Amino acid sequence: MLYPEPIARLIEAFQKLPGVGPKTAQRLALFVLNLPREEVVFMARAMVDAKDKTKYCQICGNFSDSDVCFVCGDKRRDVHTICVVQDARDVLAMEKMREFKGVYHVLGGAISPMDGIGPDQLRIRQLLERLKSGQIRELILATNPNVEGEATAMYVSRVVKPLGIRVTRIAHGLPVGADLEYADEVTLSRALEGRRDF
Amino acid sequence: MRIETLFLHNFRNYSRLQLSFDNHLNLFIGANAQGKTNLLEAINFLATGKSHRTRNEEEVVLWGADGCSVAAKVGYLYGEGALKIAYLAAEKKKTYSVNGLTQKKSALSGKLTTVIFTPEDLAIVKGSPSNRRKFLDDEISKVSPVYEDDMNRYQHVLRQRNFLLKTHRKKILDSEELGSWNEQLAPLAAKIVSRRISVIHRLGLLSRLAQRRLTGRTESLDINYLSSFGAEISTDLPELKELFLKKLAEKKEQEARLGQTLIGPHRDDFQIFLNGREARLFASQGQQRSLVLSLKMAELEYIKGETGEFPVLLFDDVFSELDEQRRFALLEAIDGRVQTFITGTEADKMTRTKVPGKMFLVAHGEVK
Ligand SMILES: Nc1ncnc2c1ncn2[C@@H]1O[C@H](COP(=O)(O)OP(=O)(O)OP(=O)(O)O)[C@@H](O)[C@H]1O
Ligand SMILES: [Mg+2]
Ligand SMILES: [Zn+2]
Repeated sequence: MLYPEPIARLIEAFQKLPGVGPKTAQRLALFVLNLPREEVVFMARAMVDAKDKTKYCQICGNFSDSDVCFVCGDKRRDVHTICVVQDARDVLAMEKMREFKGVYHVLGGAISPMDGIGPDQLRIRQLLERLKSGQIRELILATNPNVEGEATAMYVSRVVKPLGIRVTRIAHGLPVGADLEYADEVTLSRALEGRRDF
Repeated sequence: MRIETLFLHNFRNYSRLQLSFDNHLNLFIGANAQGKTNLLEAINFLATGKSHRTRNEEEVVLWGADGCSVAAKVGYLYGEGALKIAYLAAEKKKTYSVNGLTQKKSALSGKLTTVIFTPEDLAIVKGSPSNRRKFLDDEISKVSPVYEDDMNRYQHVLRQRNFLLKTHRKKILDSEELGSWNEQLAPLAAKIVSRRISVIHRLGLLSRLAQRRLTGRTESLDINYLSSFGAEISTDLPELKELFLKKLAEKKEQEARLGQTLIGPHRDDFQIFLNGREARLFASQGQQRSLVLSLKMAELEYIKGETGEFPVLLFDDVFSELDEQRRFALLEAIDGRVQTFITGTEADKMTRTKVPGKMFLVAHGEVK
């Protein structure tokens, strides 16, 4: 069935969202059409506002509403330890834990040749700039455990190691609270590979 | 293990079907295009989560239906289980369940294992290296989900690395970027090749034995792993990794020119020798069939050795093409130990054997 042009465009727009296929996009579009006008305006404004008003921390690349984010602006943080993450979202996840007292560096993605993303497309140059201060003692690589995240961690480690800074990689494996009995073989095996001296 | 009952819903030309099987031998007899292979495909679908006949999964759904399901009650040495895979064509989505509970796919792993022999398998002897790699990888994956995962990761890293080589050619060669992909590729390559070499060794012994049994000791079979980077018998991981990285460095100019990765498990192969000559070049049709049969019998024993249970054996058409000596030797070998499903167009050849079993007549998507 053919939709009138404005609806077709809305469906097309929804399809740009991650994980949304044609069917879901269609459902969302029809849902929006049934909302009161104010609701729709509110949603559209929220999107534009978020895009226009969100700033990124000039130091670490985290989301921020001013030039320096809440982590970098906090005098109590340990500035000798930097945790390198892929996305600003990962900063929030780490912060929820309330255990990490260091600061962050957000790369803005992971190396993926297939998607045209190399080191130059990430905030790696900015990271090297930060390291020049000579204050940094440890870099914790907390990129994702998938193939691209791993390649990114390896790349950063290769360019940073010669500077004499300690580089560590967070352990992956069993999720917290996982019962050994119910973990699948692959997870167990990866946890075993990542084991360390005790 | 054995399938006690099989349930199909909208799978190929079966709208609804329930069959209870014999513990030993089950024959599906019928004219062409009636649905015999479809039954084996359904069993294999439940075991592997995919069709062995097509990549396009919608094809297994009964024409006009929006999805299908295959379920079975499976008996083990100790206990039993109920497995089910349901497939929704519109969403291309599969749901898996074990004993009535929806689970991740990995929960089904090892719950039903099959060894299938179809006429296309002759390509293992005569076909390109990719046929042999697939045979080996499928076999190891059946007993090791970790191997399957390593293999998927390897393929993924390989695709990224090839992309990088292709887009940047020589510029990338000595970069840290390529280096970090190499660093990830090497340990995976080492793990995969190490596992393959040790499996080929076991498979060599087992298939040699099977071949002797099938041919009344007249033919001898040897297999030998062929590595694209010079790995031989060592299965030591650090050693294999070193070797791989060394060869990768030697090949780098050529890789940049061609824009692809030239060594690694994706370029390996294994050779099959029959009485000292390479079977790919010299084996006759009948010899190819019995070689593949020996490999499949070896696979059966290998899986039993690794998991403690014999898999279910599926024979599509090939059985009737074996000569009488081999048919007897085969039935003797599996006698009473392995639940076997055989398709064929004529009953007589098969019923002449004394193995107890059940015969099903297949016609137009119905089974009697
Ligand atoms: N998705 C489907 N829906 C309905 N019918 C199907 C579907 N896919 C295949 N068929 C039908 O199933 C039949 C083929 O079944 P199958 O391949 O099992 O035949 P067979 O009994 O093994 O024959 P042969 O002896 O020639 O190998 C064909 O008639 C085909 O049209
Ligand atoms: Mg058939
Ligand atoms: Zn910051």
